[in-house]
Amino acid sequence: MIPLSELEKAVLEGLAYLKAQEDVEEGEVFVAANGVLLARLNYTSHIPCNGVEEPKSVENYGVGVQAVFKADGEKLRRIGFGSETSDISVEGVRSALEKARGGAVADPEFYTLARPTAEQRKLKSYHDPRVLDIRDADLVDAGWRVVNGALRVFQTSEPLGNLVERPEKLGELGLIVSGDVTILQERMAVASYAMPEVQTDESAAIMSFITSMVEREGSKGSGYEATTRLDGFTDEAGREAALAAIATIGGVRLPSGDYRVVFGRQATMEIMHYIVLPGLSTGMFYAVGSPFMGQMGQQVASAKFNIHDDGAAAGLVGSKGITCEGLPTGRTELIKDGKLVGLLSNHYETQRLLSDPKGKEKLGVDPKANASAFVPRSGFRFARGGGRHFDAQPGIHPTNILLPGEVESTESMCRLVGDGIYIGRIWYTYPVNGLRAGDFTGTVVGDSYVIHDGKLAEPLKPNTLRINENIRNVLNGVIGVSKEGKPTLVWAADEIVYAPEMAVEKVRLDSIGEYMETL
Amino acid sequence: IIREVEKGYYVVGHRIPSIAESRENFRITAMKVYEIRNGEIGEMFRDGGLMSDTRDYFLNVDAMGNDFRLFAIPNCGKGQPMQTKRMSNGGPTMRSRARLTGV
Repeated sequence: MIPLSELEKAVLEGLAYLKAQEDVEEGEVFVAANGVLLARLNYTSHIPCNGVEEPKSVENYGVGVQAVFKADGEKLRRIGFGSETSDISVEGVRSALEKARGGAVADPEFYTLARPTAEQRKLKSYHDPRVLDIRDADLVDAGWRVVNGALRVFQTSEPLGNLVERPEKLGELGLIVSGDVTILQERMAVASYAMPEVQTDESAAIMSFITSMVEREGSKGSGYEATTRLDGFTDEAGREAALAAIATIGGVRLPSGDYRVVFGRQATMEIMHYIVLPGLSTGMFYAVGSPFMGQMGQQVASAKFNIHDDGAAAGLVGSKGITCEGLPTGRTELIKDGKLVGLLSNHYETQRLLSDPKGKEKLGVDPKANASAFVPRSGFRFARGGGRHFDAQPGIHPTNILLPGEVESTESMCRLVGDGIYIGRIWYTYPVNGLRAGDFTGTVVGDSYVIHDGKLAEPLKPNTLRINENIRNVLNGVIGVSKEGKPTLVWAADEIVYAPEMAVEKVRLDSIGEYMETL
Repeated sequence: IIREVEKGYYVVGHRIPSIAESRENFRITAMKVYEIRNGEIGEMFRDGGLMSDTRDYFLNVDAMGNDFRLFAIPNCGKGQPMQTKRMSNGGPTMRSRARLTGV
């Protein structure tokens, strides 16, 4: 990957070039280099396989330029964006600026490019340099660590051993370990007319998401791990997936109905990512698309529900030193004790909401009097789940999502529920009638159990229940949140949800796919 | 297709789908849902859609239109990192039985 010093030099030279252009009223140069290294894991006990497939990697680098062009005669003041791939020289900046000039538009809601906030940067030099300089051999090693973790669980499992005549026949059960180890490496540099001192940032993370099956029994389990340090990466994802696959052998089917539910970590993460967080941004409030419209300062959830974003938390996987607008990261309270208290934002959307003549109606309070609720700490150029993209303008993206709770353990969560269902993993979770309506659906695909008399009982058969609910019902029905949050990966996204377990009073579940058992 | 329906619903315009893992069940929402009474389109509803086990839905199809049409979609939604292969999907007007979903 290109060293940080070269990115810094490129931004300095690029900004000097912009300042020499007469028609540019204000400009910003953003340069990034990203690496995604991937080892696919594919172990099948009954089909020839490689275990750890050949490592792959993708690298990209380039420059993005945002420029404000002066009004000139009949031409209004315009804002434009352009980028150039694989060229961060002055020539690359020239090309990007040309594209920005060609595509510039007059935007009456645009005021300025990012301006410093009153906050200071908290995180510097927080990454593990070994992850940024990782070798293929280390990646392969990490992959085998995960696969072997799963295989050790299978080999030493008494319940699994009881399903075959002798240990040598374990493979006939159709044991599967599948997933990947991904390493994400990011470097960036940015400067603008308003913030001319070049700022840089670099970060790296190692992540693994594993699905394991005992295919003959139709059971499935998941495991995941995310860390910022090479020496912190273990076989946890593999072990957890294999243990869950064994634990869910012999699943039962339940009828449709309203149930008391404990959402496990992946399920909590999926609901937060797809249904709750998109509605907690200034952009969505401006667009009148949030399920929480007009409710700033009001109760939108049970008093036991809290959620905040913290991009500057030391040691957490999603942490960054600065946003892709060059502004400090920090903590943004979103819902506290069930009350809506803040929103994620970038500079553009913050300014837009502050100036919106319908802002008070949309927020429910005067935006100008409550500007501290949406400080621009979330202006990132994330896209497609890998890296800080030079060819994207800053959107609004979470980093580390935390949901603090008080319940000590899974056992305590189950006791809280009494009789109900533990939903470990859900899939295809979408706001089916649009975000604002709050309705959502998704299927229960694994790691799930009946809860009986306050304890986990029989496993649930995968793909037999569909959630059909409204997020307002779920949030207002939260009766407990676990203390421990675990970093839980979001598919094709960059944020990390430190997901707890979450108990809900009532969730509508519909029985599906019964005919599959006759096939 | 509509004229033959005494009581039913005309569900129009793709919105958001959710499928089960082996596609054994689906729930999809539509841009518009109209009531059909005595073969005529009546009141329009919002935030509606349908849900069904896939086998039941297709086994109950009893009318297919000759108005097959494809709609472009920007990607197939698969892969991490996301793949961006340009695709399309679509179909004709189709009549069957399913559970209507709403707010």
